[in-house]
Amino acid sequence: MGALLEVHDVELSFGGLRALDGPSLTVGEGEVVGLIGPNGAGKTSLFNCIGGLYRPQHGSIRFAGREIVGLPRHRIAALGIGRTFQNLGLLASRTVLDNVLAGAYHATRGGWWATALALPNVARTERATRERALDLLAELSLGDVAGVPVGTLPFGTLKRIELARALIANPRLLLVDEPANGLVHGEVMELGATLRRLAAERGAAILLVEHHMGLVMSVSDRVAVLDFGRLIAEGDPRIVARDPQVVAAYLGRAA
Amino acid sequence: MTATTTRASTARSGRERGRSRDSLAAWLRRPRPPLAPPRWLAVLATAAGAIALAVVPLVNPSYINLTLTLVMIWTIVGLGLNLLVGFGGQVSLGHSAFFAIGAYAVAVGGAAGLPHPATLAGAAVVPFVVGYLVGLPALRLHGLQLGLVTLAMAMATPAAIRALEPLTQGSRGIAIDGSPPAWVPLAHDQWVYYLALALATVAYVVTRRLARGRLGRSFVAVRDAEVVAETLGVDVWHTKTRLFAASAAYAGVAGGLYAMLLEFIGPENFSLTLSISFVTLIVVGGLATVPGAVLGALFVQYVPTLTSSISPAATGAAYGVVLILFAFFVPFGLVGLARAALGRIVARLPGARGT
Ligand SMILES: Nc1ncnc2c1ncn2[C@@H]1O[C@H](COP(=O)(O)OP(=O)(O)OP(=O)(O)O)[C@@H](O)[C@H]1O
Ligand SMILES: [Mg+2]
Repeated sequence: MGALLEVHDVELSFGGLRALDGPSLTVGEGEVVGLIGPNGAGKTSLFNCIGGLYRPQHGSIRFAGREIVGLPRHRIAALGIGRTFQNLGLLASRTVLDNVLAGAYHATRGGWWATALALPNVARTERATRERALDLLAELSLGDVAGVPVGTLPFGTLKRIELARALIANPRLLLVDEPANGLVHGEVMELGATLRRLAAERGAAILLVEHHMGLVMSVSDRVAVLDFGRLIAEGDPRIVARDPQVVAAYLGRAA
Repeated sequence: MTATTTRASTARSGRERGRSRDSLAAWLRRPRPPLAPPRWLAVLATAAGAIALAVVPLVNPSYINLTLTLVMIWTIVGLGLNLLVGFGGQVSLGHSAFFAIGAYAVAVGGAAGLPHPATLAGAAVVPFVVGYLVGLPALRLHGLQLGLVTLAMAMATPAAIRALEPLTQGSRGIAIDGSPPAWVPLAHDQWVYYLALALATVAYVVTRRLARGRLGRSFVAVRDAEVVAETLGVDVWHTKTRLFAASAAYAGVAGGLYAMLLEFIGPENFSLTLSISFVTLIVVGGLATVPGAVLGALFVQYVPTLTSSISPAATGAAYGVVLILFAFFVPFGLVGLARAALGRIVARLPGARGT
């Protein structure tokens, strides 16, 4: 058996622009892998390929041994891949609790007939899901805002709500896109602790895209570096941080 | 002259006025949670309503039963259409077509000697299947395009009824026997009233269940952010086609009851105006609310009666004006207004449930 996620030689172009130029990458069961790189390196594009939002022109992506390129997005989600969006994908008119509950969709049952007839297990599932959602919100220090419409909350809080929404389905692999964006320093460290705890307690593998180096280096078991759609380094965080190519990529363009 | 005066006075009190006008608009637009009456009130109101609705047809002249039955018929259409448009975010201007299919299913089935329960079941199933098939191309269409395609469907309905003359008897119209079975000691108007009451109640309860919980959240996710919904595991294809089919079935059942009520229908009963009144119904009642269907049904039943006493053209004008006003200023419809007006009071009643 290979790793939980195996990305192999993925190529993705937008017209003439090559967003992904053949990177290969693995994430093991329960492993936390940091994915870093300058702006426009292709990190979010890789997430979108894994989630089925973009279809790579070449290469393969296997999850739990199964090829997922070309699978419909909802099927990929149902395999146990959860994600958060860099620029948020929350339902703005809904409350925090509703948003988190929406994340439980594929992890719960209850079709049209069962719901219309109000079969007992539908109500039971709904109650259990609500409890789980409230627990999760409390765990992510969001208990106070459960009933608040998300449209009114600050960006950093919204990122955590998205995390809660992804977590309620108990994903085997969690793709997190810049979770520390909009957080102040203390919150970043708290988030780091939360991510580690998730990986440890739930056995969730995490692929973490983040510009906050302190967070990436402290949380990740391994780090992979993308630059111009290519993987330029991969391995132990401390070694990667000193890799001359990585340093050059960051000094070259990042502020 | 007037313009100058107005401008001058606006300049004077401009700031205050501007603010108060803004805040009124904002107040109307603010989303509010559903009313959460204390249990005793909910039980009391439901019981009182149920008794009143059960007794009403026994004590009223038949023309009042007729209009009340129509309100329940519109309610059924509104519940289904709101599921599709309000919750699911799929526009349909073509529900008069499904309404017509349901009506003719009852008419044609009745002519073939089928009993009422069977013809009403047909009035649900046939539009469900047609709605599913129409929903397939609808998957690729969005907003305006879908509006246009369904609009064309509504416009073609009377012609289609005429074209299917062997089945529908075309322009001559078709008679339906809406009288109760021999063992039911009710007059025709009472019998259809109770049928409509039973079906509207079922439709209401089922819609409320679908609109809440896991499925309701998936509809709203599909409406507000399709890609996000997919990422959460929602099969958008399945959700949209099912919504289309289900809401067509609601309209079909309502159409079946309509046929039984009128006992005679023809192509002119299913004009574009009917579709427009359906859309008006859900907008006025309150998009993406369940009780909105009832309030909207009362509106489309009684307001044209009022306006047509002024002039026959007044109804169309009233619909137009009301649609524009509601679309811009009252996005949550009459239900939104009721929540705004009653929310505080209900929350202060003894035994109120916290939100
Ligand atoms: N849908 C799209 N259409 C066209 N170009 C795109 C699209 N999505 C991404 N790109 C381009 O692909 C390249 C990689 O973008 P991507 O968003 O993956 O970078 P990133 O590593 O996530 O950057 P950041 O750190 O700024 O989020 C960029 O040049 C971007 O402009
Ligand atoms: Mg990105």
